[in-house]
Amino acid sequence: MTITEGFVGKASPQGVDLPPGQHLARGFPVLSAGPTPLISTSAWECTVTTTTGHKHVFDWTRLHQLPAEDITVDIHCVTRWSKLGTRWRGVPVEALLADIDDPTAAHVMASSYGGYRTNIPLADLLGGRAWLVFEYDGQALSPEHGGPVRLLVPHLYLWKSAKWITGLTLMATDQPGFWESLGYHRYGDPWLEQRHSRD
Amino acid sequence: MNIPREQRQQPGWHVDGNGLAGAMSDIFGRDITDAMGVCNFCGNRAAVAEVPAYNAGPGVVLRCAECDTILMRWATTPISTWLEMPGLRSLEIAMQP
Amino acid sequence: MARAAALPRLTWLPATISDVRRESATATTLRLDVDDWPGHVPGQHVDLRLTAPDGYSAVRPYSLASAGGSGTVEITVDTTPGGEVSTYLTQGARPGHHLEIRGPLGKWFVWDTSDTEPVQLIGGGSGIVPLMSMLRTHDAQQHPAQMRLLYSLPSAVHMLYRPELASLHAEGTVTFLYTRQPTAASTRPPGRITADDLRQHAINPDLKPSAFVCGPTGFVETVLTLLVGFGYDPERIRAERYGEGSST
Repeated sequence: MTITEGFVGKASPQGVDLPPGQHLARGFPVLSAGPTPLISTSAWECTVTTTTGHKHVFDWTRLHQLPAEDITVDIHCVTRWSKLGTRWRGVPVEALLADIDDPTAAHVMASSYGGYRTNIPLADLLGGRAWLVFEYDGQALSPEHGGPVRLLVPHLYLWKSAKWITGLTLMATDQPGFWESLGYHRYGDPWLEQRHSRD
Repeated sequence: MNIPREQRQQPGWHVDGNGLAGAMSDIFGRDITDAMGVCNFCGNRAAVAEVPAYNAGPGVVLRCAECDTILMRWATTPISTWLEMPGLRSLEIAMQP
Repeated sequence: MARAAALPRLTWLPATISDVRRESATATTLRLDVDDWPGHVPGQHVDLRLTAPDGYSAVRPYSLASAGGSGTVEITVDTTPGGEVSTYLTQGARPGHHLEIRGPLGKWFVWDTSDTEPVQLIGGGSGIVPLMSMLRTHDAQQHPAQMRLLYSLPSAVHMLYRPELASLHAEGTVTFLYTRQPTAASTRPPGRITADDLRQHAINPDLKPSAFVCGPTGFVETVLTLLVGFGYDPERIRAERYGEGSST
């Protein structure tokens, strides 16, 4: 192995509790698998589909009728950067599902404008651990970071926090999403370093 | 599902396939930047070198410059590379001289 | 256009930095010693692999700036804020340091010196680097084809290869298009490249020129539209996009 003298790579932080293999990001990197969609708040909608095919559509107005909260969380990207103390505002996913009766649902496929998809166990979207967010750091969420509305599931790797969210499809059995069908982990717990399917 | 033109934000967060010549040589065993790919959705034909490549993420996604269809995508894990070519109708690779 | 020469099997080769030259306020040119380097065609790039003592390694592509066929391996790197690789290459790299190189790479964005048609080069910012390799190759070979360069840059302090480009400018081969701060001698108002700039300074489309365009994605898209509008044959235009607002 050739070591490059003077190259330190990613400087490892001192006294900061990070998941294994992670380092602190400078700024807020933009990660994307395609062009950035520009969706106006008036055009945006997110459809919750049950296992029996019933659809519940949430538009911008209906989303804002649900109780919003401020969230401060650490986020961890599988590309090895983490960002601590990020501030968001949004609605708990639980609030969107409150009136939906679907006892066979156990998994969720989150889908985005542009075709991106990612799978998450339903339980991980409940209990105040996941939100549909529309503000970042006190400002309207910008398109490159997933605005007008993105999913935020901070206890899993960030590829689970689908940008430009437009659908939550409830499923009885798990299905792989965009990266999960290309060798990435079904669940993606950063503290267990579940990056790839055999981790 | 592709994003309508009017909903696309330019400039995108992509580079050209050209810059991924080395990474693709790990998969194909040779530099394929002069190979010509045809999009299975719109029929657009382009050199791999000029295909928009989104590489700031868990894997790499090459999309048709005309219609955004995913031509090719791959991700590399410690033990293997996963490759999909969902929107590529054909790939014409010139013989090595 | 004919194809680039056959390339050998791609493997990582050890390289030693032999020279470090400041090229502008933010950019640095590095010369690398590589045993068994096969040589390159102008327009090609290399992958560099840097490995830290803790085992972390990073791979990045860099265009070759040196003349094709010369056997010299030189790259020019501009600082990307927060980028660990460009920070090392522009600030930490010293002669004698070791790294790994793979290449040459790229068989599309290359100038084949057996072509005799006129060549229009258009570069934005650090997109000048592979075009410089073409200019240097042209110069070294006393190549008969007409070649011109339009170089879009914020102001003169950002200019790469200043001594060489200044003399080519004096010969009329190179035109500088300043986007923010023109020099005192410049009569053109600062701004992005326009159709007027092409009419005044680019090779006439009637001469059936080929064109190489390199720079940030937005710049390249603008220039492609302008060139086709000016009458250039799209089949004879090759482009390389460096992306935009890279975060690494």
